[in-house]
Amino acid sequence: MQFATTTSPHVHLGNSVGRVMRRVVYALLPGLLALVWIFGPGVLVQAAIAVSTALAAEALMLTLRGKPLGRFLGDCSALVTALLLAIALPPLAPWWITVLGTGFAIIIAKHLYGGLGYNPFNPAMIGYVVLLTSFPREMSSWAAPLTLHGSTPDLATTLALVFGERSAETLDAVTSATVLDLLRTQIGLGHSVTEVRSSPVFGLLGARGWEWVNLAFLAGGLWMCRQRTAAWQIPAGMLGALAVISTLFWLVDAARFAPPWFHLFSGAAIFGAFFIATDPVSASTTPRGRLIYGAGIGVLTWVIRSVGGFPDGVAFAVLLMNIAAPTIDQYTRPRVFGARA
Amino acid sequence: MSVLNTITRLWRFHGGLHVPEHKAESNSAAIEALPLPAQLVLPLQQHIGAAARACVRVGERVHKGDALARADGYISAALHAPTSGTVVAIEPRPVAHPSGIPVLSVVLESDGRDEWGPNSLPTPIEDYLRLDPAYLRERVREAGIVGLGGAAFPTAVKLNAEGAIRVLVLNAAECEPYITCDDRLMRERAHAVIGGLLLMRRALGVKDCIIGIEDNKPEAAAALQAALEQFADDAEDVLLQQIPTLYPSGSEQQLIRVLTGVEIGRSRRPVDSGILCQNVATAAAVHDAVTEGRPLISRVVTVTGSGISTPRNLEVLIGTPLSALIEYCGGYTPRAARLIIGGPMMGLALPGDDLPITKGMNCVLVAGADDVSAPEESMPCIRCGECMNACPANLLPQQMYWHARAREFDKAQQVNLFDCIECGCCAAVCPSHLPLVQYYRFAKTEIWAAEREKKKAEQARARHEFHLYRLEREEAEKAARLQAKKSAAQQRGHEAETPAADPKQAAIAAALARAQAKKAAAKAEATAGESSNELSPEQLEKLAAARARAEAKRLAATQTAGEAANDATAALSPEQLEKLAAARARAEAKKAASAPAQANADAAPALSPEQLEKLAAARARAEAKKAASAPAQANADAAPALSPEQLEKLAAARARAEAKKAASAPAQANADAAPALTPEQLEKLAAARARAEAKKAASAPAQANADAAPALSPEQIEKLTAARVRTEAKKAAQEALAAATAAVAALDADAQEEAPTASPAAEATPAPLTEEQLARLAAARARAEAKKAAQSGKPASSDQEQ
Ligand code: SF4
Ligand code: SF4
Repeated sequence: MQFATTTSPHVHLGNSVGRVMRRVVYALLPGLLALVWIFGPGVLVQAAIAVSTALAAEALMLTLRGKPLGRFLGDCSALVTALLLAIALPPLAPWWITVLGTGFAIIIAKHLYGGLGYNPFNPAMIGYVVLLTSFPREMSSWAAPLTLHGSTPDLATTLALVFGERSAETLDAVTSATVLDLLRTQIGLGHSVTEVRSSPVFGLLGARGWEWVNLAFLAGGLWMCRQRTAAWQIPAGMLGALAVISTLFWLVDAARFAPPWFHLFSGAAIFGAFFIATDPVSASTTPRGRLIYGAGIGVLTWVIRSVGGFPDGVAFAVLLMNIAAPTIDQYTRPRVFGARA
Repeated sequence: MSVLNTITRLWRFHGGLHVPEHKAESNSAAIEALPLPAQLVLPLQQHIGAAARACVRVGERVHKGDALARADGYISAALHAPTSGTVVAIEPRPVAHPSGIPVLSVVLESDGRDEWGPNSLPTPIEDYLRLDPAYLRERVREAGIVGLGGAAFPTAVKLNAEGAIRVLVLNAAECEPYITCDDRLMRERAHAVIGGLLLMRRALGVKDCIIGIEDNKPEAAAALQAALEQFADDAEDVLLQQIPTLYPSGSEQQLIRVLTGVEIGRSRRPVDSGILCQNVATAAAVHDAVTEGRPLISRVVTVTGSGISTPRNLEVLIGTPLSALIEYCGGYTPRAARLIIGGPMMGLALPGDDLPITKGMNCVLVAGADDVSAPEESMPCIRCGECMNACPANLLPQQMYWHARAREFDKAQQVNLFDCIECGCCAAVCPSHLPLVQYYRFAKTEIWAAEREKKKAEQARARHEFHLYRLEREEAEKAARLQAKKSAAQQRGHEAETPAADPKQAAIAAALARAQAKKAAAKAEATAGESSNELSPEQLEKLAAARARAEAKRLAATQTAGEAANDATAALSPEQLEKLAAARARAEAKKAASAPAQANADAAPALSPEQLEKLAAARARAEAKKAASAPAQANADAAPALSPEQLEKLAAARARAEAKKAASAPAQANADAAPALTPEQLEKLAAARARAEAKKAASAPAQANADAAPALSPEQIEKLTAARVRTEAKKAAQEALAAATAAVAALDADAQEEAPTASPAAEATPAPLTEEQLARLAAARARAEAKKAAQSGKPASSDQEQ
């Protein structure tokens, strides 16, 4: 009898890229539901647009690059990129925004850099940042949360806004500025944080409504860490650093700087910490490196939020730390077994 | 105070995996003796170290237990007849090794009587625990015992560390899935295991022993405990520790860590930290060797997996064919998909079962298709770090992979490639299904090969420098003598005013002239036969004949190339040497393509560095292309200056040459022509060849002809074309073969870190390895390694250090 002679090991424990990516999708579900509950079905519409665009772009690029479609589409990585971007976009953004951003993310930020495993930057965040810098107006009008309005736009209204004419009145009726925006502009006008925080858009911990969304993402993220689908060091480093630095400044000048819980629960900090920063391809890969990488994102997020020109800093912070990841890796190699400490 | 008192807990190592254990298939099967096979094949090298030296002749009758081969050197192990019978052959036979290279083996035909000889057994010793340690070691050495856990390192050598050892660790972990031979041995022969342990302890002069056993073998642990109690006071200071089941806790380094907290890295051997590790089966073998005088002629082998009808544990004579084990266990089931020696994590997959059992084989695993991972299409690394989390050596497998794949071997070493124990944890968890371990093996062997080459080149350079120095000295001495004589003669001449000194001077002059002539002749020889431009028909004839011979010998040629280069060194400048060494390195790794390198080495003395440079660059390019087009080219270049007769013969020679594998011929032809060429000619040659190579093989002849045309008469063209038509027909048939060969050659060339001579483009961007390439490279390298090792008598590699 003739047998195949493959090299050891001869067993595989069954993990696959597809499984890793699908777990990320499962972990996103609680957050997605919370978003729908608080902001209406907009996010689902965006997700649908983003996913179809991403799959089409992925298929196109794979074909152009001569890669096997089945194997690479089955890895679900495009699906994850699309969902992450859809969640980051305003739920009522016009459809072409989503198409543009997703296409850019998949075609330019992913495939032109070499495809899965080779992209130095997080594709979803590249797509997001391109949109944010190119279309700031469309990108800053968020659907007003349920807790503020008492109702969310229904599906028909959402579809009309996403795909149809967008009149200023209808838009104004259902959107509001995000809290981080508000905070920035108000502080810019000379108000103290406490004054601003008495505005009804603020809730218990952070922005009204957002707290629930963030808690849901936190739950999904923790599950993912438990499953070891995401490296716990990155969210720990990021949220830890963000908490520490915001606490310090808040203690120094509570009138000018927002408290730590506000930083953690208002914007994209939790979502970013567990779902964006943990993208393994563009993150640091050593254990200590991941802590440092996460901490870097946390600090940069706070800096951009507090002194920078953009409402939320997570996306920029992640991209900046993507650049630093290879260097961090080089200096944080673990002590090899048997090597003297 | 006993060290054992300080051991109050177990330690952890980083990573590790819970792999499905599959022990239940075979751990209830008691050890059975396999019926005597008709023929045994005993490789002389089945251990780490030098191969044993056969001490029997073909046709000799031997008794069971008689020595067949003696240890050859300190690190080596003797071999004994597992049964009585006749030596029918001593010849190379295939063994279970990644290279698949046959190893010299004693073939023993059993006479069915299985008789011990009158002298084959030394006297049994009852009161063995009071023996002299030196005598104990001698007995172990004579018995040919090696590590039975898989590594097969000669046990006597390890036991020689007397005085340096504080703790003796008995490895009873058996952490690889499926394997149960140690488990059964401990359950059934716990007394022998403990006895062997105590013997080794005595041989080493240590007091403290720790037995490490995974907690999935409670029966074996209980049996050991009972045996310890039987030994009572003799077994004092032996600690039995059950450790958590976690692969690879049976790896020496990891086991020592778990039991003692000491980490033994690559830079230290276990003995340097005063710890020695021995396997349970080895202990039992030591016991048998001392108490019964029984040499190592059999071992327990687990035959298991869903591809085998009845999993069993068998007591098997060394040298028994695997097929006999399979047959005894009811044969293969329809599910059988992979035949593995050892466990599923580190074992070696074999193509077939016509190989003998050797001392280091603990398991024959016939895995069903769904038990093992199919060689699945892999995805790119997503840097998830799963591999890192699983690595028991605390390495960064993902980074080692990146570097190995890009052939950045120095960087791979910087991330501690050589600390990798090839346990396979990383590959088993990689979501992208990357064959990581294969990449590491590839990188390691490449680095070893490069280091060996470097050493060789350094030796050559040193030799050369000494040679130069000697020449200079001799020259100076000669001049001094001459001067002395001259002045003496002059003086005499002055005195006598006669030309009496002339004869002497004439003699000196004659001697000088002779020497000169010899030198010239030697040089002529060195460059003989190279230039087609200036060849007489006879020379051509010879050249063709020589080439035919050379091709017939491809493998032999590889070695000669090295020698030829060495011979040539005398005439070479250091730079040339440098390049020559690089060329040789490449040459040795090639198969078919080796012949041209030889030609080159021969030709080297006459080449200037620039020529060498160009030649090498041209060759690198040429080899990467389909070989078929080159011969025509070489011919065409040579043609203009040839007489019609020469052409005739050349064409005939070509026809013959083309009947051979294409890869070697063209490059050689080219190389032959090179030495007499000026740089400009070389330039042109390269340019012309580049043009020719751009076409397909089909169009090449036409162009070659066109190039050659101006100098050819119509008749010549006629003949040339006729010859071409004949050869075309042959070529067509060989096209496929040639293409395949060329592909392999190109691949090999690639693998050789062409940096110094490859074309700049190739150098700047070495294409990352695909897995297919990797597999081929690894196989080729393994073969080469094994061959070299066989020649130098050193171990090929210690694959399964478990
Ligand atoms: S487990 Fe595989 S995919 Fe993940 S980092 Fe390691 S090599 Fe890359
Ligand atoms: S094979 Fe090497 S790199 Fe992979 S887990 Fe084992 S020791 Fe680590």
